[in-house]
Amino acid sequence: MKTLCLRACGRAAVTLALLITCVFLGLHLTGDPATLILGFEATPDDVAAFKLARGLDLPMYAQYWRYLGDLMHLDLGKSYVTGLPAIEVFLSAMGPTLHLMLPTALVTLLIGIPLGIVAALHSGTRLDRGLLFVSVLGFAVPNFFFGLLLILFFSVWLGWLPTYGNASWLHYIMPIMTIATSEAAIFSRMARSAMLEGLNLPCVQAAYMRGISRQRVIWFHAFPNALISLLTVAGFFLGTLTAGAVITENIFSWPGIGRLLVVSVAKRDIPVVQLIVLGVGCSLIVANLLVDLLSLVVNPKLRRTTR
Amino acid sequence: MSQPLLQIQSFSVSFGAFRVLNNIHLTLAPGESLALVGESGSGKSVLARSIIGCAGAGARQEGTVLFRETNLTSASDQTLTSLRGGKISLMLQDALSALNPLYTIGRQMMETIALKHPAFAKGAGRAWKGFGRSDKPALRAMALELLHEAGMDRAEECFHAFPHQLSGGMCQRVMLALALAGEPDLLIADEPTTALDVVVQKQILHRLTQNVRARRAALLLISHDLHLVSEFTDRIAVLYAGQIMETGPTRKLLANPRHPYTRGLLEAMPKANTPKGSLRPIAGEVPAPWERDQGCLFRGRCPKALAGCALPPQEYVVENGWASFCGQLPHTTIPHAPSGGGPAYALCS
Amino acid sequence: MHYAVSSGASVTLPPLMEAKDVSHAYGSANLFAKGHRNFVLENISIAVTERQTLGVVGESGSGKSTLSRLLLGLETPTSGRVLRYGDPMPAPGSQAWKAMRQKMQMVFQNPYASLDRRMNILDQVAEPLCIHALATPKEAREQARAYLARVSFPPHLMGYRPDKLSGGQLQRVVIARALVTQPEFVVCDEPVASLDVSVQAQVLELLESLKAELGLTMVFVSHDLNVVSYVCDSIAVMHRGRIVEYGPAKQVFAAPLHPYTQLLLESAPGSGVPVMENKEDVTVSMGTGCRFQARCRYKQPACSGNIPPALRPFPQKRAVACFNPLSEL
Repeated sequence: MKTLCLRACGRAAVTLALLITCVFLGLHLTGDPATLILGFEATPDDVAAFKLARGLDLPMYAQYWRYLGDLMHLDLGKSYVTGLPAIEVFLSAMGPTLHLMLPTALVTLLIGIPLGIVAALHSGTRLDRGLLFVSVLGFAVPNFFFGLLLILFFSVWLGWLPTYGNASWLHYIMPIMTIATSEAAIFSRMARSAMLEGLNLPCVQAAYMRGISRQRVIWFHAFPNALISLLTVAGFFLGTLTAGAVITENIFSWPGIGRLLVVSVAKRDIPVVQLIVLGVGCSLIVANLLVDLLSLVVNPKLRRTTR
Repeated sequence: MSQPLLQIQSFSVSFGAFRVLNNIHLTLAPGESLALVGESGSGKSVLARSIIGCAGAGARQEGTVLFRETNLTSASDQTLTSLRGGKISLMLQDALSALNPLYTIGRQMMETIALKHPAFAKGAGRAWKGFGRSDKPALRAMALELLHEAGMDRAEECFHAFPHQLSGGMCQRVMLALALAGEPDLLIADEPTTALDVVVQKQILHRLTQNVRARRAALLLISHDLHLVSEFTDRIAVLYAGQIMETGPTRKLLANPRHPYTRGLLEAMPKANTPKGSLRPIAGEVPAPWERDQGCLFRGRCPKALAGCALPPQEYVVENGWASFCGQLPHTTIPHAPSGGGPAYALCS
Repeated sequence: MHYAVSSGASVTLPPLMEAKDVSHAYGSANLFAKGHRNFVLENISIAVTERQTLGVVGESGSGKSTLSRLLLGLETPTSGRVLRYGDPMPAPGSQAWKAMRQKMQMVFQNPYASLDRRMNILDQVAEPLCIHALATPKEAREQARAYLARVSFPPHLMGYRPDKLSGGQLQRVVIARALVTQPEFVVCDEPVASLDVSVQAQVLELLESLKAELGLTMVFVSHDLNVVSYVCDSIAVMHRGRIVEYGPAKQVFAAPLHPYTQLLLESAPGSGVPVMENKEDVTVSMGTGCRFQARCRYKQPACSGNIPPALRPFPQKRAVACFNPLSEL
């Protein structure tokens, strides 16, 4: 058990190292940062001075070591725009994003899983096809369109909800609805197939043939098995939520990562962009690590017992 | 004769346009053991599952399956659920995949006992609830007793184990214990030992038949192995492509089969002392569901086939309780002529 | 120490295949648990004489399949040697190994799994000839057609794909594919276990006639004692990675020596012998005494000692690994 946990952590660490390296290479191989930042009009002297100041004249491996060392101290340079340390800018945006994402994840699961189960239990019926239609609609409508529709309806016509910012709980309703609708639509399809798989497991059929009531078989035998296969999907899913928030945050002017990313890219604020890419990657890795550890807890087959 | 426990009459099952079981007649008295023998595709598993109403979605059933006074083909879901695992229990072939990987053996046993054992299962409210904390010691004791009954050596250890920690033989013993949890009057065992080694196979079947006999319950043992069932059952029914070919007392029938198919099977199976070159394979293959008609389905491979075999096969009574659906094999080979009880043996015209 | 079993041919020619004191372990692939090895074969010595069929019986996990893989040279034993005509096997992957492969073939248990479902029957049978560069594609098809006819495969089905055919027909295809390179040595691993009784006999008869006609040497791995006794000339009974008894099939089945063989025969379906309730095997680690001791009715102190029983010779070319005096068995 302990070694398995350690192994999961080890895998996460290796992935993290790969991510860091990729971010470094991505930024340094796609173009010369000096021309990228100073623009094409810069004189050779300006470029040389810029390079010297940031250590860009050093050979690649030396730059890489320096970059790693800076990472260890959480020193990721200063924002070109505000002059504040990039990490501070990043963290101040991360807070609102997490505030938005955690309830969104919860709503996604609470809508997606029950809908999926209902569809699985009635598979092949009209109800199943109806739910399929609803979920196709849910993820076919783009977030920016759906968000604007919500604003039009709730803010412009009814005047119930505020359109931008994150000042009160009322502000949370529309962004959460926007993201959760499409995510829950996809998730319900995954929940449906996981539940169908669970219902068709030989052990579930066998429990039914032992005369255990249908309800009990569904909730005590099929559902836990379905949850285990859903867990893996859910980890990946929740990890991508942060990345998927870019559009929604911009629609509702949410002061989070997504909005920061758009602003920083527009202003060529490279240290901040770099940090956001790292941060989003990390959230995926952490989500997957949590899933790995959680499935060790719930799935006895994965636990190595010394019996 | 006592009131039969199970009576299957003119029973057919179709999936879509394909009829997988055709006009089955079988009876089973309390305390009797019947072997249902057939090759793959003969419909023996479908029959076993039909009895407990689990033939699967899309199965169309005709005819009746009477268990005591209940017609199982038209019984309500509730009746069937309470019968399943209770008065009628089914033991499946692949034990490892029939056990839930997420729960310990003990937990699955206690659940089944709480819901199915006559001493614990009271009232319909139980059907959902399972068991409470206060029942645990009694349930646990009962589970251990059943595991012992099924021949489990280290029942205590097994109780706390997860299915994947057990060997195939141990899993099958757990399945036996689960099947016995409802104190069934009819135990259906669908190829219960096919995947197991010969030694374990015989031990488990021995346990199973002993328990059934001791409680005067009935056994329906489904297998593809004629030699195996010959040791453990009183009567045998040979199934081929969804038709019954021959039914009768196991030993007598196997000693002197009256149907070319039964005879063919016996001649195709090597025994320990079969000399080389003396096996006589049955030519050809089992007809696929779409190649089946109303006539005798074995006629395509039968050395004795006549034109008349394309008509629906008739039952020829060899002696009381022994009937063959073919009249081609001469009755003069019967060592003991049929007594006056049953109708005389009739030849096919 | 270990008596090398040979069928004692008077000629000095070495046997076609021979395993000498072979042990095999599957090391775990785990980086953190190196050195943890699981021995599945322990000090096996056995010979397969030309034009004979050797039956290997035993329960699942007794090492039957591993032994056949070693004899085919698909794996290299952890210790000990596998000899072919008295010469060591070439290293897997080498040129000599590839040349040897066409002389050795295998027939697996599940014909559905051993055939490619996207390729038609004729091409699958012709494929080994093309792989070993023994024929041009056109000749290969000709030969494949001839071999399919030899195993009585209906000619009008040769262009079909496997999913259109029954298990018995597919097993014929697998056999034809194994024989098309004209091997001298064929290992059949449970070739009839997945087939119905009425078809099983067809395949057994086919194997029998092919063996006589083509002069094949066969190893026949099975858990079905009746089938093994019908097909094989000599028999090796395996239990937990060791050979416990060896001898001509007729004698072994008529008068088994080792208590485990006795138990197996008594348990065979249709033997009519009532069951002995005995315990499950306890795990005995490598190198210690007899592994059958927990279930043995003749157990004596030596059985739980440190030395495993060696395979001792017995008249009529037989051998048995048991501490008990043979008169008592």
